[in-house]
Amino acid sequence: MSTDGFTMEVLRWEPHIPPVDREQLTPLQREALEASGKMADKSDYFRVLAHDPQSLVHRSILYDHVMYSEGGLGRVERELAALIVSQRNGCRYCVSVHARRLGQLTKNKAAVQAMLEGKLGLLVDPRLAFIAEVTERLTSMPNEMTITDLRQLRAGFDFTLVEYFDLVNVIGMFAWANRLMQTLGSSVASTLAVADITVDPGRSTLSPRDAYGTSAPGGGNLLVTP
Amino acid sequence: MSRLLQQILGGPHASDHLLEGARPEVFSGIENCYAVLIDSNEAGSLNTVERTAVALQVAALHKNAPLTTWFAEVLEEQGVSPDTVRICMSATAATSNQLGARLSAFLQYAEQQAVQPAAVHRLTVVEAAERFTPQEIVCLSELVAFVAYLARVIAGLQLVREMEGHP
Repeated sequence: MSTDGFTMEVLRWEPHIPPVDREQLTPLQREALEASGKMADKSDYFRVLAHDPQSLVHRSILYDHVMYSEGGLGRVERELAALIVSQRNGCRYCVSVHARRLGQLTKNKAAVQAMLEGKLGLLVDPRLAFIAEVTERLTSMPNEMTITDLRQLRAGFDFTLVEYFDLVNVIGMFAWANRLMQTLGSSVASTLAVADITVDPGRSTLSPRDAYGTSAPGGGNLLVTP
Repeated sequence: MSRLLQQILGGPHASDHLLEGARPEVFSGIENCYAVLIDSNEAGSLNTVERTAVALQVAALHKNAPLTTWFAEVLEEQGVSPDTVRICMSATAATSNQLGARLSAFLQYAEQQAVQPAAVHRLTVVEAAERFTPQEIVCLSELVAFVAYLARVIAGLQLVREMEGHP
């Protein structure tokens, strides 16, 4: 565990308000939970959000498009941005989920662990370093980044408009997800194994795309210097 | 690009067509989320004026000029006085007695969640649950978080437009 309490271990989430009772779901709540993934009705987090089913269903749909759309920003890159936003916002639960996911996708848990310990500045791949820097800035100072900053940071490699738009949406989406996680409940240590449950604050289960990574380019080299 | 985002950003731009063609579902998703979180007047939850007032405060806290201007104009179109609009934008909005207890409580909750989500204490939510329904609390939380998302998307799109030059 890092000094900030960040970990790749499975955490539990304890709600501050009672989740909707599974036996008393309205049709709209049931629809919203189904739109959020097959394990959503078993998740306290999604059943808390189901108190406002309209926002849950539309956010879940938007989340899927932001995180899993074909082409554009690569899957590793999106998960890297999700992890960095969550670290910056101090959302331990989101960090644990996306650190595990990034470790699975890159098969480089040591590098992810180094990131949890604050060693983002050591990313070797210039494209990933660019993504990390933009993510940090748009998370903490969304209106202070300038066009000059952006051009200087991306000097030397291509980064398309669509990739940039994807990145901005991931950054924004985790500003959203972190706030829900941190406001409506608290993360605590869990006794469950990783294989038992992994609740994504956006989706309630790993999609098939999670299992097989992405065919989109831009996976990057997730290495940090020692 | 969605009409909503074009209006917030002050009009269309040459880059809109490319992004809209590549990510139509994201743009329609944003519009749908805006509709259910800002434009909604669902019984038993926050009304449209309350939602817009909270959105204005969160946009102002993010120092996002286009978004702040947008919500200020929407709030005035809803019949809210310019003085009240100004209060909602200010740092003292959450403690202003002029807004009424219910809206002040919403703004106080929103301010914490918008700026320091990690610092929102469990008791804040528990106390809110004594005054408001679970639907209102979740709606308010989703609304604040959505505007935090929107502020970053708008800031990012402003940079895209600068990168691509003038329309």
